Amino acid sequence: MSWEEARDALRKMREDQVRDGQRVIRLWKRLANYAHKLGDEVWTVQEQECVAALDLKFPESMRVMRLKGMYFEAKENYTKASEMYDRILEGDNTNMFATKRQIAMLKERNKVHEAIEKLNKYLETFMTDFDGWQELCDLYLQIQDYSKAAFCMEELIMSNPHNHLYHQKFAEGGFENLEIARSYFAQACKLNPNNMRAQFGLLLTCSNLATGYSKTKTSSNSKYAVWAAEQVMDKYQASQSKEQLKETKVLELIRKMQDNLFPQSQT
Amino acid sequence: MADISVSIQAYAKLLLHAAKYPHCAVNGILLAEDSKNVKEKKQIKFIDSYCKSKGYVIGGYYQANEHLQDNDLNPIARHIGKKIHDYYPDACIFMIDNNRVNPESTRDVYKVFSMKDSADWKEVKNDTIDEDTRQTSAVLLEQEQFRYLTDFDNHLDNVANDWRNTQLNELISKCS
Repeated sequence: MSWEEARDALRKMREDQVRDGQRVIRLWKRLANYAHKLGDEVWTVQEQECVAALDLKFPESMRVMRLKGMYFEAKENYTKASEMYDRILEGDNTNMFATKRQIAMLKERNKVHEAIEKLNKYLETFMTDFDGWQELCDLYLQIQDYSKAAFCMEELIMSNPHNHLYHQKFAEGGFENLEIARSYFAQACKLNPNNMRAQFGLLLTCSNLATGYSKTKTSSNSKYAVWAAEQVMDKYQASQSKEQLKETKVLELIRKMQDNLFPQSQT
Repeated sequence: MADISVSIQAYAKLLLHAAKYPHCAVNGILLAEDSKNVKEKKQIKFIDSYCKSKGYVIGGYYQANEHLQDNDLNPIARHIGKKIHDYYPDACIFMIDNNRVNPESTRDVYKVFSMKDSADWKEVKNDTIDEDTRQTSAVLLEQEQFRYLTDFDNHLDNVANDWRNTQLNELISKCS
């Protein structure tokens, strides 16, 4: 058999979707020395050969099925990919990877609501999957359902109360209630004083509260804002060169915000 | 309305920013030289002092959605665009088409929307860049220069990271 005949036979097997690992390997052996003549087709042939080899070496292996599923996903053949993952789940219905890939496929097809439904079901069983809760939070944010996104972050904070990033992310969604946002930014700053997002968040929420409608809490919010401002300025002065500070005018900006907090104080 | 033109510095960095995060939504601000008197602004605090010192105003807001096929003006872009428009009536929204974020693209990577002569965002169908800008940006994208782009998130991770991207700007000038 010539290399051209081997190439054509492999093509036909791909078109007809024939699964015959042994034959693919035999044909590849004829073709291997002529791979340079295939041009771009060499990648398709190599994929075919790789899948066949895995099939032969590890028949009915979950890991191989998973790889095949991902291969079909990459080719946007979602039907075949879904079949792969369904087969894995038939064998082991607690297989987290297969369920997560099914959810990922819904995301890939922009089916956000279905993805949310499936992820909710997944988390009923695997409620300690923190990545899953983060992903669900992001999906709710995409559809602007902030209360449900907040619920996801609360789950994460309850299980990881020392993680400053969870406090900070929860606060960033809380623009409707600045006082709650302020407390979560403050907790994030306490857990990690180097968290700049939390420091800025604290500065902005306290400034807005201090200059907002409620005059009773002005002086305490002003004090917190001034503290946050000082933390931010110290950080910038320690990290940036004089030239950068001068050009970006960040210190002037922060000082201006401090001046706005105390409009009556003139020296 | 007057033609919109986007400099090579702005276009190249916008394109590189979109390419830097293929798995995420991305957004940013485009600055323009101010031809009118600067008004008192409260939004976009962080670059406020910097803009005033350089005589810049906000010329536009760009956004690339997370999903490859989702290239429409979404509520978030409309909301932020409207806030900016309240202070800068000439500012436009630049919605990036994710399918055009590649070195082979022959069209502008974004669609431009303006609210200057209407009550809603309307697409402006003029070309905003010249061929030199397109080619230089394509080369920078091929060279994966987005690895050296510092965005605001990088800055917040470490405030020493300079969001002005002075070195990248010099490279863009040398290439054009």
